[in-house]
Amino acid sequence: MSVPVELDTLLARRLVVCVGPGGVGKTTTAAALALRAARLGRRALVLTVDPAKRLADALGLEGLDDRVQRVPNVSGGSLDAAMLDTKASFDALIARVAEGEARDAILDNRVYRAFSKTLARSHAYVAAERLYDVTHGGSYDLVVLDTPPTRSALEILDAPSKLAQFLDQDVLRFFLEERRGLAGTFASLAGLGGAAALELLGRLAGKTVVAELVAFFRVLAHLREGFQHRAEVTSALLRDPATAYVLVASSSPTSLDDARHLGSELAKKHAPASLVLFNKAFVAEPGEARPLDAPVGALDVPAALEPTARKLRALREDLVHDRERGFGLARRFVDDVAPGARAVALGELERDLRTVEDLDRMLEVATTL
Amino acid sequence: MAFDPHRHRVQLFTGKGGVGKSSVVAAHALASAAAGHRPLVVELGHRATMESIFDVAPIGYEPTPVGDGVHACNLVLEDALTDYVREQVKVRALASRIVRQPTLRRFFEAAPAVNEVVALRRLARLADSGAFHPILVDLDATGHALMFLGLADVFEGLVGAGPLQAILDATTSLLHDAARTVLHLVTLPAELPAREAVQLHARLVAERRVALGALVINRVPSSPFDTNDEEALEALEAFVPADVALGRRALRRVQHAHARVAQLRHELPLPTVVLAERDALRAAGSDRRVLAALGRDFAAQLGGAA
Repeated sequence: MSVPVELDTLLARRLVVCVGPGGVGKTTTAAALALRAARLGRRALVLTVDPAKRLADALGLEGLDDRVQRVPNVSGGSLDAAMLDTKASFDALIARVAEGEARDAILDNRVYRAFSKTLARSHAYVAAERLYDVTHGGSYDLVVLDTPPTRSALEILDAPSKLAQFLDQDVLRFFLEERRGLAGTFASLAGLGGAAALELLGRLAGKTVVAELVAFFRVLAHLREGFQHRAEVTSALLRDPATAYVLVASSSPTSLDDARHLGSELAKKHAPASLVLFNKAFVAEPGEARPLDAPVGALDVPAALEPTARKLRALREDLVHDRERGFGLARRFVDDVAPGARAVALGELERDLRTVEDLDRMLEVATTL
Repeated sequence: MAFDPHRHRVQLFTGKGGVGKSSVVAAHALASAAAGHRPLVVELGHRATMESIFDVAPIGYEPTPVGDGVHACNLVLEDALTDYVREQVKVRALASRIVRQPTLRRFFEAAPAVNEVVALRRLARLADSGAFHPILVDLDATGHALMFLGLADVFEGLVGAGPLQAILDATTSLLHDAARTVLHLVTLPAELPAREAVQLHARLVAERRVALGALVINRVPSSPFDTNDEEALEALEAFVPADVALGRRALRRVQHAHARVAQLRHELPLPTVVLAERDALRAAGSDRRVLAALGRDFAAQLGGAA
């Protein structure tokens, strides 16, 4: 039993980002990768996006939250784990970066309140900030980042640049500049006078929204530089050659469709995946790490047991058939979506995840595609 | 609890990622069309799932036929936004200029909830137009569904009496109207998806923003063995131990799944549909006949549930 060399090579990077559709076991896979790095002597941190109760239990932790915790009894290097608290309030972030009146002005602003309530996106900002913190502490050789499923998977990765974009100089000027600003731009766009333009904008978004937006940008303008600096550093890290993307998928057709979209978005916006992991892609021969053998020869069993033996044989045949079909889809997927990426299939484990050793085993029951 | 699966005009489907929502939506659409209705499948944002299921060219903002009497559309932000601005501004060229203005565009892309507001507005329009029935919405994971349903709260006190308020009012009244809209929960007989379904159900019941439709338990495996086999398995251990280990493993898996189904039925007082794993897996291969059969099964289980 050995871990495919493709996986160990990957773990030489500084940041490994796991993306993939929901339900494929992304969080567990991320933890298994970080554990493997620790086994190889590295100081590793896994950042999950959900509390992953069962994973926490297996790691011997009370639970995962935004505190970094050391996983006990890991030989080799070290393994730490924390959850990127995507429910952590945006307010806490504002409280950290702003002070006094500026802070109160932001927290009271109604556009801000709407913003902080639109969950997915504001959580992504908070999570990206957290990533900045842990990768800049210098405490880790490797950080493995888990991401939310499919459609919001890229939000964390996009968040730094989106935030920078939101606070973009042009956007700010658009809303704030006295002479030209919002009304001015609208006026020139519409070929109208300033008053008519504002009227138009009011019609689009409502007058209160416009007024509150302007107020929002006014207070946020002071924080722009700090936010932007952190956003730029995080964005740069995500583009750095020391960052690798792992696409975690399953070999079922619908899941592959989701993964396909995600994989191409990833390649377009960040970098192509350097490894595609197909989780639970085969059943292992009982007690072994290799994929199930196809049935061979006729069964030599007493006649009374024949019917059941035939069912067992059919079961084996089905499982092998499903696997080969899945492997075929998986190979074609890699050729289409991530040509040049390495592909590894992980087996479906017999036992539920209960101990750190189960997590080790996850990468051992594997085959290169 | 009999439940007419074709009655509600707007049917939202949600559940943890990977539970097979899109296949269930497509199956239901095919069954609706076969029953003489004019179903529309609505996707939010571009994922290309329906393209792949129905094997058609990219599906855009306008509903297009995807075969067998089913229409589909994709509520992409940019188109939904253009649509909204056009309606408000009236002058087409001006609307296009506003939407394409680089600064404003960056702002719209980054601003919160713009996506959701314009998408919901479009959904309400589609529902009001009466051109399609039922409208089946393939919602993202559970968090996204909650946000859609709670959108009005996000903007509380902010939008005054403006056009945004009108949109929020229209969509809220559509979503809250139990005669027109239901939300179906899709889940699997596995620990995490089941737990998420139970938690979501509790929240939806507490928030009372939408009427609940069916609980769909997808990919439920059935046992390859009957009672006679169980003794035989033991005896076979001496001859084909690896096969017996495999068989027992399959059996345990089925038992766990069935226990989970029983527990879900017990915990969630909803009309329940149980879809077989074999069918669901074959349907995921985009075989239209298998999908249609799955859809008929869905409808029959609901309509017949006494």
